[in-house]
Amino acid sequence: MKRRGFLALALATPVMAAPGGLELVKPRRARFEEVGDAVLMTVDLPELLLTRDSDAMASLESAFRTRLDFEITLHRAGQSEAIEHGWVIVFIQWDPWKERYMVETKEADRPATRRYFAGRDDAIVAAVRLDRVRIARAGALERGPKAVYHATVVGQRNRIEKGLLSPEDGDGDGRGQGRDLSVFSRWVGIFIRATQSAEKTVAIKTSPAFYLVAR
Amino acid sequence: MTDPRDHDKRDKRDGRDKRDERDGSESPVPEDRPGEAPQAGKPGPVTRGARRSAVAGARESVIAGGWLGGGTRSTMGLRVSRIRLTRTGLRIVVGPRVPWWGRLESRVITALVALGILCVGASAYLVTLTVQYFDSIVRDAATKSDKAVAAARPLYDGFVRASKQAYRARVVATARELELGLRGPGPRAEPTAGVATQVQAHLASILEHEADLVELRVDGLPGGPVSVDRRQAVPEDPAQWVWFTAAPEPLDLRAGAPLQLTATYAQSTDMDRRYQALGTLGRELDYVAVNGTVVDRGELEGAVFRAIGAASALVLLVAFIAGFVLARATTRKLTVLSEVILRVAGGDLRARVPDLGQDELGQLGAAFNGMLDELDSAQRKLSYLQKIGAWQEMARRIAHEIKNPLTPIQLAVQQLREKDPKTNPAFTRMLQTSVEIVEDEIESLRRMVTSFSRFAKVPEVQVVPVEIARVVEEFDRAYGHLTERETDVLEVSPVPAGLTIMGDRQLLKQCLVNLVENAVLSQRERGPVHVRVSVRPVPPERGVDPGLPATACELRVDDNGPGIALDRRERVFEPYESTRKEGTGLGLAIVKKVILDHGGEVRVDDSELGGAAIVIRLPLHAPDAEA
Repeated sequence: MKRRGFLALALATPVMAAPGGLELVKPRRARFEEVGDAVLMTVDLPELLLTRDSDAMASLESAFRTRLDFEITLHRAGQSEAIEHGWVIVFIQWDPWKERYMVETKEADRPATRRYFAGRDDAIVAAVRLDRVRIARAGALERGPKAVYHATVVGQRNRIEKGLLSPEDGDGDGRGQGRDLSVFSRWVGIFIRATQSAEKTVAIKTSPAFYLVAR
Repeated sequence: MTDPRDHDKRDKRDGRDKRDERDGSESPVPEDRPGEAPQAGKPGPVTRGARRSAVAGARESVIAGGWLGGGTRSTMGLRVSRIRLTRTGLRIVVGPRVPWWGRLESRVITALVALGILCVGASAYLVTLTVQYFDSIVRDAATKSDKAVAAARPLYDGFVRASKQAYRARVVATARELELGLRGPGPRAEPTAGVATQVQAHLASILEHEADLVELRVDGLPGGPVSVDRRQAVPEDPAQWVWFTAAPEPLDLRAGAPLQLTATYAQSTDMDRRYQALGTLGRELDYVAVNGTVVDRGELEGAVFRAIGAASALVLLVAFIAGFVLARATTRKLTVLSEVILRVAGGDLRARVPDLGQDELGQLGAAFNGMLDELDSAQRKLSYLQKIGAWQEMARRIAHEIKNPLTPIQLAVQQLREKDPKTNPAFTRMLQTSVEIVEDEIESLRRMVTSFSRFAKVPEVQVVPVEIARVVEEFDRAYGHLTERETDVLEVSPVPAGLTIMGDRQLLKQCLVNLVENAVLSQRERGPVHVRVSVRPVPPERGVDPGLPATACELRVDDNGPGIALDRRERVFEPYESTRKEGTGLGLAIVKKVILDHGGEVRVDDSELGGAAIVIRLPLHAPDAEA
């Protein structure tokens, strides 16, 4: 290893070793289709709900509903500005009454769909797959191999609702110890290195990128 | 204490020597004191013993730690770092400059910082323990909550299972009820042809009475399944109802084909929603909201530790700055004091400690200044008396040497005048003139010799308690006439009673005579003479309780003469310093010597009468203090 590379590695080590530090965006192969005026994407994020994740499986089998949030952003290669934003929400739940798994998918500008599975693993595979999700209008994209696009998907399992965690009352007192507590809370907030927004977060970037064939 | 003569010697040294001494680049040790530590202000050849002493002194200084906090003069790395009191007096030990960690300021700051670190560290440790303690409690509570949630899972499962069994039992009961309704009371009968209609009616009746029934269906009838439902009333909606179809129950109606009853029930999702909420709460037990953001509890604990650490560091920084400022304020005073002490030790008796405030160090500085004032005054008195003594010795010798030949000269001149044969009138006239000139000069010399003799023979002061009023009164009685002129005035103000001094009455009267004569002589040629003699007790100095009795009195002799210029007011007390042609310049010198012998002071001031005022300050006699 050259000296410069070694130095870069040495400098980057603490960043990589930091607990809860940067979440790297993983490259992921995806399938893109142009159907009518829509560009559809199919991609899997199995890391979001792994069958070997005992806590997640226990929660699922206990009939607790598991929510998966997907935020999809379309970028043109080389540009940081997003072209399109989209979201998909998937609920997966064991229905003890009917003894089957229900996978409910909500997508922007589309009615919710429900699918039922007898087996858990099939339901999970369906839940973590974004199947032919509309990511952009074909007319809005430039065609040709020079206009290369890629999508970024951020998936979150059981996103934490801040509203449920906010204190109900008492802490907002602007006097005495209440004020001091508020100040101390802000002070502590400065030293928080990693915030938690979900039970698990996975970010991927589609690779290779795609382009629309010129007509 | 250093010998004042040493200072005089030092003053006479050339500038190069003084520079060397200031720089401290040498460690001079007098040859006659080879074993002593080097003494500032006494240069001399550096001998082997001196070198040894200098090295020993330097080593001693290093061992002593330089309590004065470093010297003020440096060259070639050497500094006056310490003052040592030896058998022979105060000695300045020259040694290497005290390093910064050895200085008092550094030690005080280090002590404060160490104290701050100790306090802040102890506080931070206690806070850390507290946080960990409460975190363990919260963790225990969260674990229990987790267990409670885990315990609720089988409960929900059991609830669902029990509900299903209950629905199944209800299906069985409904089937029996339907059989009874269709067969009627009595022996079992075959269903009639309109059984489908009857089944429909019975099912409707049962549906009407059971509110959570969604659908009842009988399969196996000849005309196809018969059902009733209220799907519209209780739609299957996860927000409200979930439908559950229990396993079908066979009907015994003795029909040709086997019949079976199927029932679908609507189960409220209220319990499911609560269960889901329980699951959400269980998941969120591991997280807390801080300042609008959600964090893991472990991360929060780390953030609290970091925040406490940063706050402690901040407090420590503030404590360090405050300690530094406070220590600096205190040690600066010590540094100033040590610098002044070193200057004084170096012979500069004019050095004074600036105002250091009202605290103990300020009082120490003021007391040190007072001591220096006393020392300076005593030194000046001593120096003056020594000078006067030298002048007296010279006057005595001159008087002796001149006085002896005067009488033979005068006799010889008289013989010349008597032996004149008077044969030649011109010669006689010339001889008479010459003899008169010689006799005049002899008389002039005789007066001068008399004056010298008086100056040389100023007797030793023999002090006894005497009231100053008596001195002034006797002076007034003896010399009240002043001059022959009517216009000349001698004004003697009334003297306050009770002002007793330790004094020599005759000499003090002589001083008054000298002063008054000086005043008269200075003004007589210019016009009427006005001389005033007055006495007043000296009020306590500023800062001393004004209620305390006076400790001194002032005897003033004012005149209306031409006065004394400011630049001559010190010199007029020097012997033979006079502006008058016929003056010897010894009167004021005698006065000052006498007054200094009394432990007093004399100075020249402006007079209210327009001329000069000679002010004599004499300490009052305090019998109690003496006792």
